[in-house]
Amino acid sequence: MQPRDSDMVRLIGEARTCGVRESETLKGHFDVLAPGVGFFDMPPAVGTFLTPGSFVGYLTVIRKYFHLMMPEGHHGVVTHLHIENRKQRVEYGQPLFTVSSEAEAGLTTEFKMMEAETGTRDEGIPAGMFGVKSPTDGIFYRRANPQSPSYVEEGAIVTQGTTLALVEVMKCFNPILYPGEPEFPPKARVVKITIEDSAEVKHGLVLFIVEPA
Amino acid sequence: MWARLDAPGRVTMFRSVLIANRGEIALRVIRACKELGIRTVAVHSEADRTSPHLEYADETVCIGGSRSAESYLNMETLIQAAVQSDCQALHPGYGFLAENSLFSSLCAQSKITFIGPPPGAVRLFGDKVRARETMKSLGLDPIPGTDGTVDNLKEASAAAEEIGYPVLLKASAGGGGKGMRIVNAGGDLEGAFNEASLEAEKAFANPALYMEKYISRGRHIEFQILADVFGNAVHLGERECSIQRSHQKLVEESPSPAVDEDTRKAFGEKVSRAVAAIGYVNAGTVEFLRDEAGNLYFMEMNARLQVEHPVTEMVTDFDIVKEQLRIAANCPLSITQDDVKMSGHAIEVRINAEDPDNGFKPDPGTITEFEPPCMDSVRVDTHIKPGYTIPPFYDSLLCKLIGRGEDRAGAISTVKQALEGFNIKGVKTTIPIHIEILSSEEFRKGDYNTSFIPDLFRAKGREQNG
Repeated sequence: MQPRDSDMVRLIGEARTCGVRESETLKGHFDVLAPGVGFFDMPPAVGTFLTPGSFVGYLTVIRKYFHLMMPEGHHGVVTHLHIENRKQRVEYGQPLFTVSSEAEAGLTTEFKMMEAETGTRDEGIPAGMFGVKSPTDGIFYRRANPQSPSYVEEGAIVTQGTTLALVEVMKCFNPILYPGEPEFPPKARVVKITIEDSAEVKHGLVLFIVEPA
Repeated sequence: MWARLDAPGRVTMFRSVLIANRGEIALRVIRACKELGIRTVAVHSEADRTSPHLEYADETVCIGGSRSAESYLNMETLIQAAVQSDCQALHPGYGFLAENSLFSSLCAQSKITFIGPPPGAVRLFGDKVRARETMKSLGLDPIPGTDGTVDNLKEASAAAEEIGYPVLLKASAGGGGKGMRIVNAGGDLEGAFNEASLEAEKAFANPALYMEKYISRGRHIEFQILADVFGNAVHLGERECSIQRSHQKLVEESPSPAVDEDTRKAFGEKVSRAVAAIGYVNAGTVEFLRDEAGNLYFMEMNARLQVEHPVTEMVTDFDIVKEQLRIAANCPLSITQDDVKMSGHAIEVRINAEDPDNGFKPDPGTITEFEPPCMDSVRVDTHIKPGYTIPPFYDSLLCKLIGRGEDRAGAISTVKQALEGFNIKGVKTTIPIHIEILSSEEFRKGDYNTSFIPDLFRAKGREQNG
């Protein structure tokens, strides 16, 4: 697991976090995925217990070494490797090894609490509140450009036609306007902005939760 | 004509080429490679995992997330993908990194041949002010305007007085209409100057502007050139691309109804001499603006393969992409100027997933039916198949339809028939507007200019904000 000296000298690339995907075949297991194209080397040995931030190998991208890490919110024991050789070429999203999240031996309660906090929550809209949805697939922006202030913050009062955000689709920026009546109250308070700035959104995803004001 | 230089020895063609693009152009390049017996490696983002063009490649590599910045614009990843899949060369297509001199330099550093012009030429034509000066010195007059940049309002005002209103402010690092402002009178100059400068700073990290005479009702004429490493250059005639909306071309044709044989010969020769003189290599396009008096002024050079290259291929019966690959492998040009024969007339229409009745608003979605017309002398360049969902992250080009006829009227009739028989369901497309353009009296007469689309929409009383 420890990098060789020669590797350390060449270790000039920054750390990169791997992606994960739930295993299709094994319940309670997930695959750790390559975060990019490159030559992958030094996978963790089978049986290694990994926590968020654990070192899981190197990725060489045109002579630069990237230090790969386990992502936040995932831990477990390596059950098998998908990589046969050293220095194997991988593509973005290619499974590197499988981790069992059910093997929880040695986990502290503190760690479990952290896990619960980062877990996904129910996206339901509380009674009496309304959800403004994305009209299209695209990228969600809360501001016109990185320097300008957000269109709205949580707590803001909006009326029909107020610009809430932008959704970029095929290089076009479409404003998300507060729809107002008849489906929505004429005047409303933004209770929650459910999506992070510049995140990808799908058609019909709730972007803003508002209540009558 | 100058002496033609040939390679004395044999040239080794690439064994494998990586196609650093997506969509129809990726498929177009794959086809050219196959014809030359080259193995192809296609790359794709997360969103393009199911893109139909991947089926045609010998190997595919997923290079990153859906956003262009994480995939098709990620230089290191693309080069690494080429290295690890044993490619000797990389074709950038158009858009994305096709005109990025840093990218072509990085390719060279990793011993990957960039199929396109050398980095120096890309850099030269990326700087619009330097490009103007260089082409002027080689006998191609640019649009009357300032010799260098205008650095402040005082200079701008003096320059505008000298050139005469209306004038056009343009970003030195510009493209795509960003940092561009038309100024009709002295009173508007200050506002326009500040806005354009700010926009240029934001878009290109370079606020420098230059000024030229605004030519209203101009026609966009461009010459296709090819040049090899031995200093040979040929032109493949011109294309006219005046049918545009917000600087995006919609319809292209070759030859242009506004260019006669003498002008073609004179300008074609000037253009190929100029590109050979600056050491340009590979395919490129020199763009001109023709004013109402018939003068052709140099606008800019696109140092890459153009979207509309098939129009030229249809009238010259010559494969530009295959020649690009041969040139990149250091072969001499396979044709001389005398071999270039233009025959007939070709028209290309770009079919985009856009709603022309709604300001050309992009309309991504799933294609439920897709049946291109099967006709003689019609070529359809597309990556679309029924059931394909158009991702929202990239441009809206679905397909290019190119029709050829013995003459211009024949080409118009072919393309119109083809469009009428084209069945696309699931998304709104620009087909109806193309039929309207092809049916219009102005277009049929060949008497049109860059104001065609705005005029058409004004006449119809429709609002165009795309």
